[in-house]
Amino acid sequence: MKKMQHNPKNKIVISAKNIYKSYKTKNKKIEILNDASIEFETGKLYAIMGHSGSGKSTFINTIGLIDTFDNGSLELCRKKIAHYDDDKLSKIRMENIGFVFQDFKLDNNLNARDNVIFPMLINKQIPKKERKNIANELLEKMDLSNRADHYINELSGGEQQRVAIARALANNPQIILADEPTGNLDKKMEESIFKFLKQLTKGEDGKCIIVVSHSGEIKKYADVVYTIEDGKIIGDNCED
Amino acid sequence: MIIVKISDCISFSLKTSKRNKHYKYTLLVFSLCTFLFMFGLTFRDNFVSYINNTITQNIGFRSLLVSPNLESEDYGLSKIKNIQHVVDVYSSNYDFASVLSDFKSEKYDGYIDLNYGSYATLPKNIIGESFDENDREVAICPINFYPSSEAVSLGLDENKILNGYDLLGKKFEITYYSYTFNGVKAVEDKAYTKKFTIIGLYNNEEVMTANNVCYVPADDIKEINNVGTLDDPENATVYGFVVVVDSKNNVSNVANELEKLGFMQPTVKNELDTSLVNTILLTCNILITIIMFGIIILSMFYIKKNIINNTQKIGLMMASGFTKKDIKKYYFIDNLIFSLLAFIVGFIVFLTIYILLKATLLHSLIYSGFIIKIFIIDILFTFFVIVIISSIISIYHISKITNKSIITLTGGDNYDS
Repeated sequence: MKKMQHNPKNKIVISAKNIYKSYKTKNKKIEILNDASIEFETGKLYAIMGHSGSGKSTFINTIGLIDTFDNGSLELCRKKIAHYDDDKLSKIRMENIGFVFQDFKLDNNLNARDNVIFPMLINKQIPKKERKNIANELLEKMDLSNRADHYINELSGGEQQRVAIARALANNPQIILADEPTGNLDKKMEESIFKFLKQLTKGEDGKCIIVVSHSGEIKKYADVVYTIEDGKIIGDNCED
Repeated sequence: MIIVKISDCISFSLKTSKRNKHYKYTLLVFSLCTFLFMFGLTFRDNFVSYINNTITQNIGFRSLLVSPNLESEDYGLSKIKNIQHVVDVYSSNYDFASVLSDFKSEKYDGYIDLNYGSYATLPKNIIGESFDENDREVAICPINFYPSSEAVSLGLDENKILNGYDLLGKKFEITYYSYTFNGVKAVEDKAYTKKFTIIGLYNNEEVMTANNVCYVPADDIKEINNVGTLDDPENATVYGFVVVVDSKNNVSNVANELEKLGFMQPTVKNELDTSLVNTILLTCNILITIIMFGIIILSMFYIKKNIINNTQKIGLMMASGFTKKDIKKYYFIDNLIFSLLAFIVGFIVFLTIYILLKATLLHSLIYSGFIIKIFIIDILFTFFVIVIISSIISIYHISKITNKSIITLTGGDNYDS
């Protein structure tokens, strides 16, 4: 794997070393990640690509602590994740990771703002009265300030995904993991979502955005593109 | 570690339920169940209460009618008096007298019944004064007095009911007749009058008598009925005895004892068709049980479905950092609010219908002794079935689902395909 250049302004937030992950089916054992090692830093948009079944989603689920791995070591924001119980893992996810899914996973019975507020219910750092302001700011950032009171089914697909991104940012995590965020959207909307995601890497508080995508369009926006093949992660630094 | 606050759970649970049509329909079904369950329990318990009151309070259920023992000198009266648990014995000739009173007006026909009053037969709870065997021409009348033969019917006109408190200390006059036999039939011979002072009141609903029944001293009844008989009062035919027993439980023992002493077929004055009562109670209990199990099955089905419908949301919550305990708390409160709302709505509907029925259809039943009331135990039992049981079911289902992996819950494949 090609060694990536490290910008001193950015900090490494994910460090995975020699990760092994396999699944057992009835007849055979399937190797998904095979000695995968990688680092991710803030202020960059990473694209994870690969053919169907290559293990892209498994990879980001593993680094997002919603799936386990068989062997190797994983550090998240300088915390070594090993033998953590469910409560500790939940806390790390709440503080550091935001998820964006292909099918948005928004609550249709809540309006856009309340969908964004929902993850804040478990964040003690955010006072109750601040929640609304934060949600409004995040929606404004996503160009949805005039849609805050709208229910999900009143929004277009692109708008819904932007609400989902705003929700992922609710607890101000450093890492955003997006699994096929544009899988259900047309080309135009896809472009706008990638632009918004790219935007999040900018500035002092630039996030580490990791996007799993089939779409070649992501390459235009990604700082780094990784491809997963036979359980190995192959790097391609777009900055080079 | 639980972070999510109860107030947030309530606020978001209410927000999500507002637009959820399925939630509203299910709430309606559960409210209906609450209503039916409360209705069934209230009907059953009022019915049982009515039956119990009838049996325990109305003297007819612990009074035996026996034919005189013609072989004995006093027709067996002294023998009956000596039987254990017998508290009073008197000739059935003096059980009661139907007389015309001066309450007769445009409103009433004035007919009232005077019952044999003794320490054994008088109602327990008397407002004002009671009387003893030495008193004469005094009466204890109903609080809701209705001096008319219509009093035995179910539909009493509330506006015509006299307030007994206004009558306390007042006198009323009755008219009764002596008869002669004209060769064909008995005809009225001479009219007699007698005045009674109302010294006490009783609640006829408690003792299950009609609203036109007053208790008067035994000697007054004897005097009235002796005038009305064709026989010589001193040697009048004794047609039977009324044997008053101390309690309903001892009636069969006394009946056996009477048979042993040679009295033929003693019969209980008022008897209850227990098979009908048992059938009604059994039907009520079956219906209540069916509704209860229906509610439990519905709860299991609804809660399971609700949680399954929220599988992805639960997965997302876990991915966002909600702990299992947070999620259990959130959905427990969500289901608790649902079942509480169903209970409150169902109970309000029940209460409204209860008040309406009580003010209209059931109103007349009050004056015939059928007092409809809501039992606290029924409310608590309904609350237990609707709220507590469904909360327990919700805890089970939530615990089950939170044990699944986040990947399974969010609908992600084990590996992308």
